[in-house]
Amino acid sequence: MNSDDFEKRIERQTFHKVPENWRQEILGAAKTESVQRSFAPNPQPTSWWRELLWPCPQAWTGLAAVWIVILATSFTAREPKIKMVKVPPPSPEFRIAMKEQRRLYLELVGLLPREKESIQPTAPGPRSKRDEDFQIV
Amino acid sequence: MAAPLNLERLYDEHSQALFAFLLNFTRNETDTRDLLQEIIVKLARQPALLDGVREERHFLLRLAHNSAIDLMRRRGTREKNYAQLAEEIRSVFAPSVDPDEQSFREALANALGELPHEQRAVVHLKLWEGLTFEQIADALEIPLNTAASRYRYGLDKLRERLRPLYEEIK
Repeated sequence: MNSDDFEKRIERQTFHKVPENWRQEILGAAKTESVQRSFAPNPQPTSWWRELLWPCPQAWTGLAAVWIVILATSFTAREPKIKMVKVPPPSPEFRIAMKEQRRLYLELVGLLPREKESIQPTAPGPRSKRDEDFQIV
Repeated sequence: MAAPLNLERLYDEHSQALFAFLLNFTRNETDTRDLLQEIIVKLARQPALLDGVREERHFLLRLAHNSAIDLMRRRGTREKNYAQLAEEIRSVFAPSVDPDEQSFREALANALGELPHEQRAVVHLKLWEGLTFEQIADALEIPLNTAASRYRYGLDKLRERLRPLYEEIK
């Protein structure tokens, strides 16, 4: 089968003619639209985005929905922010207590020398009494 | 300021081409009428769409293609009645008095109906509108190579399908 002949044969086929009554109907509808447009106070403000989304608004809507889901998931999964709360300065008693605790801790660990036990000076007893304490049996 | 849109002239010059393209695409006369009206009404509503358009026919064919694709998507989701479509295929071409020619037209219409609509659109524009691949690519908003390959695949399928009848009647 010769390719050129085949193509030419197909090319020769003629399509149906447009039904004649369509002309009046279609142009009538178009003119009605045209007249309505000329009397309209202003053009439709949404026409530009309709043109943008056409010819497949479903696909765009689906894409937008996917983005909304992604953003919502992202927001809910985000860790809460650490709040900085202003704490009032500690009281002098609390500071002293903390300082004491720290000192004790360092002492326990051995980083600070132990404080010498304070020896209470006591009045010496009578000599006779002292001797009683060291009796040789 | 642009000249006012002459809808009558537009319809008279392009309606037959748009009708054939849409009928071949949709395989349904009612859908074809609705789409043709949709295009003309759209232009009446927005005459600025034609501002700066060099090839009016190509632009209108692009509008027709987009409208038809939109319709196919709507139709595809709600019905897939291929038996009904097969019945409607016979009405694409004008009837012929020659019986051989008539049977070839019917077979061609059926074979065209079996092509994917992307290939059918390219085959139509190449064979019946005489567009170059570059013009087809522009009208259908597809790459040039895609237009050429779709035409080749489409024509091969038609040739394969019509070979016995073509050999018999040529």
